[in-house]
Amino acid sequence: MKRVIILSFVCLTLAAAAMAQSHQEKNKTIVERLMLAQINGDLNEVADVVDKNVKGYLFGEPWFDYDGLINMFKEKDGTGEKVDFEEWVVESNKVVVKWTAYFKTGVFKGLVLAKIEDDKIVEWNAYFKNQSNEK
Amino acid sequence: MPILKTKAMKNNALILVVLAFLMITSCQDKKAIAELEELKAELQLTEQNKRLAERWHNDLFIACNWKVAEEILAPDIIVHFPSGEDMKGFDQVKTLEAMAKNYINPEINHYEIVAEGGYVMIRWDMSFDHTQDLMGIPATGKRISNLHGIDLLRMENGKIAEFWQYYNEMEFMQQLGVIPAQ
Repeated sequence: MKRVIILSFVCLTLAAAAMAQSHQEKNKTIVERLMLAQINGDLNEVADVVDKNVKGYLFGEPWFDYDGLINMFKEKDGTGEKVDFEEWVVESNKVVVKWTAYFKTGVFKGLVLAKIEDDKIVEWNAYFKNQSNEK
Repeated sequence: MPILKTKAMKNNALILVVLAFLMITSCQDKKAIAELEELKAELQLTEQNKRLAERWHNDLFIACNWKVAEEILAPDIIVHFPSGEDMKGFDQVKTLEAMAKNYINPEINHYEIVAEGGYVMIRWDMSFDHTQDLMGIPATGKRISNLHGIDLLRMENGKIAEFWQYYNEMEFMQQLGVIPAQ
């Protein structure tokens, strides 16, 4: 009986871990979709993956709300050529990505920390630098 | 006799089925426990990595205790600065000690720590008294505060092997009086 209880506990823990991992993968995809949407200027993706009450921060200071994000995506110079995702760190509902993006305004490198709730981005913390200025 | 044989065969078959069931359950049992142990080890390592990442700020910049540098930094550590420049190797990274000493009364708040596998991210802000010259910038006597940044660290064999940092350089330079405030 004791063995059955232990085995049930082990199986439940493993099942919970597997579910958490699949959830984390989904959260990673949500962040990836928004970053690709910015490169492509795809406004439809924003509605799909961003919460209406999203809070965006740049270097810890308030940066954008939902409308501000839409306006940013509408800017011609906002679109780019491509974005490379170099490293992902995902824990629970927090997704960190190290990236390099090739925009019309230059090559940017940085890190983003996004928080996801109910499959939508609710917080976006960006830290980056325009590498073109360094040359 | 044939009836007895059939009964015996049925019993044997039943015993075989029970034995097979027990063997399979036992195998799954062992496999599941091994997986759980693996999961537990992963979680422990993640927590260890988080504590190690915090030591970068706490030991090297708050306590300015570079005696522990060898304990926490890998010999072939690489530090990537926002400008794209890199610092390679323990000896080169240890030169940061001189800069760390000039952060007077430093305070670093860790807002978030996220870890997975060998990577740890720390989102932070920093304050210190600019009462000593810093990176060739003469002391302003001011408290530099609200400087926000983010670090990504890669751990290898229980040491920090690679480090990326982004912070608000513009804000930093304005507070240091290098460029005019907006």
